[in-house]
Amino acid sequence: MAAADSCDGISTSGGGWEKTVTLVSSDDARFEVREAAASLSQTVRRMIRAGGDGGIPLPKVDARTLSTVLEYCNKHAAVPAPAPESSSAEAAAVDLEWFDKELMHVDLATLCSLIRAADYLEVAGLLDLTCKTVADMIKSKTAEEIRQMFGIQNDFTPEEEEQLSRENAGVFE
Amino acid sequence: MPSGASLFPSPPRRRRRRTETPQQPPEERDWAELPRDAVATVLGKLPVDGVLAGPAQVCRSWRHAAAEEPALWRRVEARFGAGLAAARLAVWRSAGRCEAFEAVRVADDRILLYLAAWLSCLKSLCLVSCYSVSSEGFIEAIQGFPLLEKLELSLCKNIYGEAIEAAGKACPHMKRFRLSNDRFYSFEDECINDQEAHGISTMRELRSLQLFANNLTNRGLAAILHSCPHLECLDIRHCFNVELDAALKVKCSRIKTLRLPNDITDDYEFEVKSPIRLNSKRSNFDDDDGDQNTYDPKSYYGDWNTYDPFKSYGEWNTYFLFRDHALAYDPSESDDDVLDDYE
Repeated sequence: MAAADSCDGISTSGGGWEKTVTLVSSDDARFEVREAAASLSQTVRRMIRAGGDGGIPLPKVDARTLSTVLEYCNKHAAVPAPAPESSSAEAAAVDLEWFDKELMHVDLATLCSLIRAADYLEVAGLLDLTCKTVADMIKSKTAEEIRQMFGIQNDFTPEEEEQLSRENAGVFE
Repeated sequence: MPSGASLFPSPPRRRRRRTETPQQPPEERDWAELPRDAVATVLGKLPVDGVLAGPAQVCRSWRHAAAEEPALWRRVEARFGAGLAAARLAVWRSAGRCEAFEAVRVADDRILLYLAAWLSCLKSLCLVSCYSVSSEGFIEAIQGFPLLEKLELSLCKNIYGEAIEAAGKACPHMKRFRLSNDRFYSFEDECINDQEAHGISTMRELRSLQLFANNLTNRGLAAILHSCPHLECLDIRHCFNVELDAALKVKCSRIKTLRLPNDITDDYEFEVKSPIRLNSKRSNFDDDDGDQNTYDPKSYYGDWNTYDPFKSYGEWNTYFLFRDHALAYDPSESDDDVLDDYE
């Protein structure tokens, strides 16, 4: 990849199989990742282009969350492109779907961290997956049920509350 | 809704809450403070009426995220009773951003006029089985949608004739138009038969046209083909007044996708009923095409297809339609009787 050739200092190992980059989490854990996988994050991709020393710092993502994000990236970047409509392409798609489903079997705190990380790292596929998971959870729930589920405080002013209840009663003209 | 909580400004309340329940993990608070884009992405995956009733009322930041997510407001759907109030709220909150409105079985003249007042930028309007919308109401409302590019009127039995002419005049950008009935019915007067076709022929920008079970004649079809130079897609299945002659075939040769009166109807998502002809010239429409009452369960409209409009409103509409033309018609007769031998 042409962009990677220009990134001095980042621990890329050009020989052998694939180039890798090192990502550093907020709690200083270091992850060596294939560049193809790390580049699923637009944020990381930009930093690879910019170059730098001693790995790419990601101060907003802790090690636990980053490892899950990288698990996602490794899996999704690993899929070689077989001939479309071949049986192996179909199997790979099913496998990925299954993997995504399994990855979303997490508690709410982890899910929240994953959404933040996916948003910060700009991993579009993961952001979509996590947001879809949340959307499915809150579908057909009332505001109060959602607040309780996620521990969100009701921070509307009394005036706003009144406006909301007017809206709920269908008075909005 | 715990209204007492909102009596305090938010920062002190948060602090107090955390001291009261110190064992709660800090992540709890995070859901309210997720990046707005992420919340908007979540909400964008839900139907807008569902968002307004719940997620948009969770807290201020979620409400702002909902207000700012354009994808959420672009399309508003209303289905059966309760959906209408939610849809009106969505239209109101969309602040003119709604570009597509779809109503199945719920809309009436009032809601249509409401849309016309709020959504002058509407690009797509789809009404399915909206028996309570009248031609008069439609004619008034359609003046409010000058930018409309797509219009569907399916099984809306009370929108006909001059309403279609009004749509042609009011919406110069119309590109896709669908006027679908479940049953072909022909009048003896050709002018009445071609009134809708005449209206359609004023939609000069038309790309795609479906007229299912319409009573237009060769003359009406010729007018449409002559006046709509961009027409690429034409579906006139069950339009049994059309008898494609050599001249029409030549005019149709430029149409890329063409479905003719006797073509099969398996992919038509509504119920197809036996055609009715009232004049005596029993013509060559094919009574044995074997696909009458075809109903496609895979249809886009899902469960609503199982609803038979003729079992309730439809029967009455048909009754009035017939009565208007001074023809005795007994609505209690079987729906499937073909009245072509009626004198």
